[in-house]
Amino acid sequence: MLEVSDAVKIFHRGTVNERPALNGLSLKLESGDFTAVIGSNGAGKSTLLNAIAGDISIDSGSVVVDGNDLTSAPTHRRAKWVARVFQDPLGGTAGTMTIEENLALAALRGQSHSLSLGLNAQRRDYYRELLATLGLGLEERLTSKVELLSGGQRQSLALIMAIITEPAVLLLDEHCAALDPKTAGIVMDSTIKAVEAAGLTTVMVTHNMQHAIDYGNRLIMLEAGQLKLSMDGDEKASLDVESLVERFHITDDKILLS
Amino acid sequence: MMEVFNNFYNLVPVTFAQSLIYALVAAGIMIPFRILNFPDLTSEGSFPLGGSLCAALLMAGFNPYSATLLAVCGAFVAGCCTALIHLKLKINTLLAGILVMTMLFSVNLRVMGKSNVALFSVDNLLEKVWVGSSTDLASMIIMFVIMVVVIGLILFWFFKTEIGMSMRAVGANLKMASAQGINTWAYTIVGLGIANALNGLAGAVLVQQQGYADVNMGLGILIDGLAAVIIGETLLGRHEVWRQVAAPFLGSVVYYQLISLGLAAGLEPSDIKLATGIFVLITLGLPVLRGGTAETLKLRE
Repeated sequence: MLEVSDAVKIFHRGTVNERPALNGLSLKLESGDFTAVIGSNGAGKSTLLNAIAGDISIDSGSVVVDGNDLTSAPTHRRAKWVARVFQDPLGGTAGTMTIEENLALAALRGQSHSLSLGLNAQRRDYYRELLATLGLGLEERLTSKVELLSGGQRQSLALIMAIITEPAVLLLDEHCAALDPKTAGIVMDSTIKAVEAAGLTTVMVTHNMQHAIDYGNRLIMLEAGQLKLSMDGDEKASLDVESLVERFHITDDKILLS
Repeated sequence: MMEVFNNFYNLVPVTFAQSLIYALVAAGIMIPFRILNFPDLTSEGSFPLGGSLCAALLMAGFNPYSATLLAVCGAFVAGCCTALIHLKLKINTLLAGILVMTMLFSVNLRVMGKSNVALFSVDNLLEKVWVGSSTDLASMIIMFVIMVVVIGLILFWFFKTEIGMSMRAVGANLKMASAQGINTWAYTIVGLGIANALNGLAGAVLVQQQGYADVNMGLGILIDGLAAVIIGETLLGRHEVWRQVAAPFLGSVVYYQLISLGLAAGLEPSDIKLATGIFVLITLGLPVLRGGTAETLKLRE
């Protein structure tokens, strides 16, 4: 369960550039909720994810995951509960390390690290099994450097790394936006499969209206750092792009075009 | 020509012995530059710090083991300071290293009380370990080979452990590392500490091997070490952990023999630093001039 309460984040406070990114935003996700987040640029989508992940600290309000108050915890301490796939395929993986090393680091997320070897036969078998679910052949390339992979392969690996610990909250930060449409489709399919199999509580930021409609059981729209509209259940299920545009009074062309 | 060769040949063993000590410096430079992606110049100060501390403690009556160990600890702290200055005060990595290295010059003078100290009157590590004379070149070489091989194997094993892999991730991708629950600050601080502890160990062993400590012993050591790392990487590559770890050791052995050859061929000792600097410039700069991608020394901001 994820609960963000009265979150306020104001950038450049007290200067002419003062900009409220989160303006008293509250959001509650039950376990297993898959929420798509839409909104125009500057609406606070990224700030919301950063506030949940710990990359920025909010000025006031709270972030609670499974009863743990993480409001003032740094990113690395939140990693026990919160996993994330970044928009940039280079962001979520260590390029100069091998596929198996990246997976080992991800699998150790939230545990204490020891001076025993990071890889062994048992762990490798497990990673092979996980990678095979992607159907990209990565299970044959455990010892390849991640920098040799294509963007789509790298993002698929980042996805596996994010879900390997079955995190309490999974954050998807426009994770298909930097990929070509075909690859984006493949990565999105893997995402949905993995999230549904594990029943992960997920927050997915997207610019893609169709994705926002097709996936997840909830849809929220942010505007000026606040929750503008929220719909779930049957209401969301019967949604199409046109009615979405109408309901949300979307005037930002960027959202429609992407 | 024959004379040049003979001069060089006669010096091969003693050059080899010293290059094994300097291999520890090269390893202490490789770790921040290559593993942590934190170009650290502290070695110019932590190497003589290890030497000065060791010399002062030996003169104060400490036994060689505890003097060496304390020297290593002192250098560890120096490395941690550089990391903290960068992390806490947001000072550029290179500047943080220059600050610590400069301050250490005064510290080293304070520690020794004067600019150089002769150690011929006290027991040293080499005699203790071998219960023999420190001038016995063969046993000295065996001792140094064992020391270097053990440290190399420990480093190789360490970078394969969960903790060592996390340290590599910090250098590879800071954002990814913290997202995987890795405390990037702690690993940077400890990593720089370990690297400079190696520099300090080299300084402590060197003063005991040569029988004196000099406050200027660190001058140019960073470029020497960097040249050794680059030579090692050219010979071995760096795409596997064992190659990256072995590179500074092999590179140091080759580099100091090359210097020795240069001296035997008539190169003035005072011109060595210029020659080394030009070598480093060429190896770092040539790929850029050829239009390839620059293997630049990245800065962490």
